[in-house]
Amino acid sequence: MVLTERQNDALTELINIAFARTGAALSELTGHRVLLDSPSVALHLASELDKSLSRFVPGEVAWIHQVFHGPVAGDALLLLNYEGAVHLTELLTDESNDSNRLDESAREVLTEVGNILLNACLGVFGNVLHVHVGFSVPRLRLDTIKDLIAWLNRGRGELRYALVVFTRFQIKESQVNGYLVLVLNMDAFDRLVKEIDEWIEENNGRQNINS
Amino acid sequence: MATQTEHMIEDSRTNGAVFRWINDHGNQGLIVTDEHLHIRIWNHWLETKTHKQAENIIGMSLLEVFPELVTRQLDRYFRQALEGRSNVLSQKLHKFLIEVPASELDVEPMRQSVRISPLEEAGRVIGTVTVIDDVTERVNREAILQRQLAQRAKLLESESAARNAAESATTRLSNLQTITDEAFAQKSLNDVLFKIVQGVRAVLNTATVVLLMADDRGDLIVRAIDGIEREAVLGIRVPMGTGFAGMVANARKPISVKGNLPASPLNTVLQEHGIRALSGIPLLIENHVLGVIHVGMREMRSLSDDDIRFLRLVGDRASLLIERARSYESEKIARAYAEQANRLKDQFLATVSHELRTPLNAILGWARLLQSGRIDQATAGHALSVIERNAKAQAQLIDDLLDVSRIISGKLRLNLSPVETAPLVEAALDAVRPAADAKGIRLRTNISVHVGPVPGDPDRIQQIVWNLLSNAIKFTPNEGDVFVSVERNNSNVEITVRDTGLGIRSEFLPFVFDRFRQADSSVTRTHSGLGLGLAIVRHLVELHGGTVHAESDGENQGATFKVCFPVLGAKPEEVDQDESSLKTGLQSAIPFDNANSLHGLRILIIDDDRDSLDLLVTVLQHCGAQVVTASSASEGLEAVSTVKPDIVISDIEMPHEDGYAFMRKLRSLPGNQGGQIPSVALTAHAKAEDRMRALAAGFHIHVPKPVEPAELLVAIKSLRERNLKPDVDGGGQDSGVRGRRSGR
Repeated sequence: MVLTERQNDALTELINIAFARTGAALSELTGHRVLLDSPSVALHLASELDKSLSRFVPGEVAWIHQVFHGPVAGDALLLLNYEGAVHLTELLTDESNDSNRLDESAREVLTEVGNILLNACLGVFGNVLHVHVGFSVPRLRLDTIKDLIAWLNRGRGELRYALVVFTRFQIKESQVNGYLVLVLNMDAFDRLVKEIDEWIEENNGRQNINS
Repeated sequence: MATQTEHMIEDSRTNGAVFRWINDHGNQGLIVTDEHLHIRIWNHWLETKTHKQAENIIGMSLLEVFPELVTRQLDRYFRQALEGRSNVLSQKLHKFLIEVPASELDVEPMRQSVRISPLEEAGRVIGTVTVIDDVTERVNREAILQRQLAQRAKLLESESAARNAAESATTRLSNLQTITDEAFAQKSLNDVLFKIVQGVRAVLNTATVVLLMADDRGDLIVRAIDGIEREAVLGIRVPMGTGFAGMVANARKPISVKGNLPASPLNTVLQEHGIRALSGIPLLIENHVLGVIHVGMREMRSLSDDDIRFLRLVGDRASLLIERARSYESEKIARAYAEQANRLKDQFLATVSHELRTPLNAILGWARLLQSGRIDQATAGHALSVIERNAKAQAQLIDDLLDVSRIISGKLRLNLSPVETAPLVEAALDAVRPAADAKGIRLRTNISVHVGPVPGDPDRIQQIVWNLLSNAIKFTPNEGDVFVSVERNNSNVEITVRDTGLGIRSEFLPFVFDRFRQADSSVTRTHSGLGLGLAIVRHLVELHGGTVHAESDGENQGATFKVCFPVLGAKPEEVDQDESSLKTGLQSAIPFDNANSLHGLRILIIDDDRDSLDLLVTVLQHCGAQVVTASSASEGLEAVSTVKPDIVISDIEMPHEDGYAFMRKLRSLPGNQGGQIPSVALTAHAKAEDRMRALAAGFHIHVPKPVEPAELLVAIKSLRERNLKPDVDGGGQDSGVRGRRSGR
């Protein structure tokens, strides 16, 4: 499946709305100006996700995972490489982490940040799709990309798509890069694309989006 | 068999029991609200922590019970939960959901990790579930761990600093090695000192480095400098306890000053060179301050602890090097002296051996001829006379040797009595007449018979004259003239022996009376004899309180020897009285009539033994001398500068500093400060080497103990009259044989 340019643009626009909310929420929480932006959105088969992510980090990644359910169900993930994860917690908490390891408190911070970001994105999609989306409690895991992908695709015969969104946090003149990944099954994805097309029509090409 | 209703009842009972168990035992806070956020469940844990009982708050609105949830904008999480979203609230970003103390003892609030989720039934949100975990302990643990990690990081940092310091220490050690190696290679003390200051300045990169050494009084004298021209400061004396160097020496530990330097002649110069700060260390050997090294900076700064440590290390090594250089120098002098003494002894022995064999040849040769019976009567007569003459010559040699030996050991004693010199001169003339006749030498005389008696040993006075006459005849060619006169010259009797012989080269004149040195031993020995005669003459004359000197207009111009004896001021019959008076305290036979013979002479006596001191004072004051006493070397030195004595008499064996050390210090003074004062050594050690050592130290005369007052008087008088030439006579190195023949 391929997205048209308009669809792609619309998707990016929606993501940016979610990112703006996330940035605002994080700014409010931490007292620092936090910006998120996304230069690119890409669509992959979930089974081939490793192709796009394997070049991201060779080692362990920290990933915050939330399951969403309802009429559109799937997995939402925020991936950060280990150093990026440590750095992000330092930036958000104003505490230097000389040990360079993620202790329990740091993991909680990452979980909350991922929670905020994923909630914002799924919230925006829920509004766009006019469906109620439920969210599970977020969890943080440390794994290699390979193990992560294997875990995502465990026991699933169905074809799933992964929307991979490059994500850049900008805080205090520093940047931390990561990926936002939404994994949807075919039905959910079809529905998403259809709703996006409708949303484009409704808004006559990217006008006021009021979530 | 149970019915479905029974199952449902059973399930409901089980659920109730499980719920009660969670409510009672759960180790976390559990809040359940309905869709209006009214509290439905408030568990036991929360009751304990918040002291709010479930029965009192169940049914109430959560946001009304805890209005701060709204002010802290946390209500949004509950609203999101009602919309189906789950949230986690990390303790780092929120600290807590409901503020409660961490414990009863703790005023800090409990740190909480919170999950707020929707409570759903059949896809519909019917309320919210909030779970609160107490993570205070975990947070504290993490804080400790972070601190430990930070400390470890700091440790690593200081470890790396220590490694750097160690590396710098290694560099310093190598610098130190270089300095001491270079200094070690130097043999002279001055070179050692200069290498040290140069090395220190190169390593510490300071403007100046000065090394001062303490003298006997504790004053510090600049001995080496780097950074400013030597002439400006070398030799500057910093009096004990003054200036910066004095401070360091007194403190015996490193000191630094900035700004105003303590006043001292040295610091004046340093300040002129822009020095504004000094750091110094003492040079210590067994806690005795050897000196001070200090470095000067143009900036207002002190040396770092590292640099001070380095300077101390240099100081420790420098002290050892200085000690080594000092002992090397004194050992070198002693060795040179010993070598020379040895060489002179060898030369002397060679001469003795030769001289003793020469007459033996004649004696043995003629004796064999006589034994053979093959010679006629006339020849036999000649043989016997040759044998006799040579035997006498040898006897004379042996006598001379014994005399010299006695002179060296100080055992030559006079048997003094008032004597007229004329008859003794006549007797000596008679003794040498055959020898003079044999060479056709004319003996001319001008002898005044009544010149007055002198205090003397008749045998020795005759020996003096005989020696001079023999010498004159020996060195006068055939048909020459030898002129002898005895005259009264004021209070002296003057005996003159003049010849028309080989003469004496002017440069050898000062040495003709010295013993044990042959100025040119390679000269073909055309004249026999040991050449000790003149040395014996001088010694005997001086023992009599007289003087002897030689004159010559040069080679082949003949020579004149003049002996002066002081005339006894009294008549012979009065002498007897004096002799009897002397028996009271003085053991000598010397007449003690000349009570004022030392009039006007300032004499300093140094002896730690009170009794000896008293005896000498009595004797010398009796003779009219002004006597000053000192009981130690240091007192003696002080007295030299204050009293300015004409003559110094010093004991050798004294505590702390002996007489040798005293004399070396005295001789190191400039002439106008007493450096050349005539001196007498008194010692119980009468061995030849003791005598030599005394002379080497700078004494002019050595008088063995027990002191015979008369002998001491004679010695003092001879010193007074002797024209002292320190270069010639002052040091032991000049003692030795100078055969007269070599000069003629």
